Amino acid sequence: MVKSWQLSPWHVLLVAVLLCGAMFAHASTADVEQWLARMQQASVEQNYRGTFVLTRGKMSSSMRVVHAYENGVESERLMQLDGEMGEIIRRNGQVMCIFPDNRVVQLEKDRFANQVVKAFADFMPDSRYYALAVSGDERLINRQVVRVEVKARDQHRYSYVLWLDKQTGLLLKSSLRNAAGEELEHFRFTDIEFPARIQPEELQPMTQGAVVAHEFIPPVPQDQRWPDAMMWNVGYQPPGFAAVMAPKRPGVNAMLYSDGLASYSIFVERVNPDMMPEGASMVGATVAYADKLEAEGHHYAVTVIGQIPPMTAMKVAESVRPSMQGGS
Amino acid sequence: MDPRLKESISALMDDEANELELQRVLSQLEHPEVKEVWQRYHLIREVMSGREHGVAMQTDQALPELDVSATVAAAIADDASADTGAVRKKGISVRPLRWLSMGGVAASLLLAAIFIGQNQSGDAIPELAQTLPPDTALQHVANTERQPKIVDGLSARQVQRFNEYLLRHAEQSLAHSGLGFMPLARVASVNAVGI
Repeated sequence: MVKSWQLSPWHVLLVAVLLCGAMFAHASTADVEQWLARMQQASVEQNYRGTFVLTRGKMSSSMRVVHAYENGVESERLMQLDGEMGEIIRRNGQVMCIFPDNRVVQLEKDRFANQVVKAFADFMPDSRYYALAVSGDERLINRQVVRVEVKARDQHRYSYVLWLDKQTGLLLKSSLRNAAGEELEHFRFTDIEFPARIQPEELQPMTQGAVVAHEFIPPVPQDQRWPDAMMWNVGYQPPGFAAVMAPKRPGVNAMLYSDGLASYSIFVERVNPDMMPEGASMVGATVAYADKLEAEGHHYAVTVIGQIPPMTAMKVAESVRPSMQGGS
Repeated sequence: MDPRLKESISALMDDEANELELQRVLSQLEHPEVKEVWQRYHLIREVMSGREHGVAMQTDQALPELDVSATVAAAIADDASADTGAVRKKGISVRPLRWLSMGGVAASLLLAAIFIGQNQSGDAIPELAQTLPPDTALQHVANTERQPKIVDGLSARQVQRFNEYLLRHAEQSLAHSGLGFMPLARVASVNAVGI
């Protein structure tokens, strides 16, 4: 006799438990994505002033930050509180470094600046490359925060723990670790305020007297001896990283890649006497990997810099190749 | 002769004697039959293992004078021997040798697994283990694990270059990091030497 299949209470319970599990896992990832979107938005649109400590390896520094958002324009002022006074002013995408000797250093914009290939707003850390979880509520500098874990699933990126302000979504504390669990970078606010309005004076640098020198750091120079139609091909990008700024156009020799959280830049230039020593130079979670490459008798220097493991930076640097393109 | 005694002698020769069997052989050591059985078993095994060539099997004189008591004493002296059966005497090491060779293979496989594990390419494990000898797999995997050279200590000029690249990277990634001013804070925190 064939026993007919019956729906026992146990089966119902089992199915219910499995469904709940699946839904919970989904809800958790969606939760994290919502929090990360809030963090992104808050970092741009919130007005805030506060003091924070950034620790990278053995170095630790205290800084003060004032951030304003008005009429769609971001303004920011960072002041070093330890050692010599130094400031960084950012206004509408322009960055100025101001030194104690009243020297102002600024990056010269090249003609390809701000050509973003991929909108970042919809570019989130992917659950294929990071295990995402909201891991609890905590209290930090007298504010309610939510603890978000963004754990790397492979060796191409680092793991993050982010503490976000519940009310505004702003990042109040973060910890960045490598695969071995070593903390490479630690950031935390020690006090923070969210004023309705930031006075313009608060965003003015504290230079006393006249600016003595206004220096511009030129964009990474293009080598005129190479054919004009030279383009740089990046043969390797670690899984999950996409080109944010890497127009496929002759002459472009500065590129940016991101996985939604970590990012790295690639710069290609002529070999020059004071280039970085070949290999990986590291400060906390930041690596600058310099490599000398040769193609068709030409030597060129590739520098990969970002918050990625040195092994990943090496693979990226070694994959950069020139390609000539005739016509369009 | 007590069949249990014969079994015990056999077990001792096969390195599988337990404490009880060892005691049994010990208590009967002076018995001539024990020595005879020991020698007979020894001959059988040596022939079977192909070690004895051209030795007349029927003459006792052709056999080396085997010292049973020495073997037993060695077995007792080695604490572990009763458990692991590692009786140390040359000429009866067929089993330990075989184990040693198998241990070598096992160790290679384990090493290969560790290397592959470090490489984090989970898919490769069964494939490599099946199609390649362990040593080849190990070499193949080790080759892909070339470590980047780590620069130790930068000159002041090089720190400045590092900061320039960091500033460039910060300005490029500011709008895209999602972490607000963090890229700039990184620049500010290494500003010791300046840009």
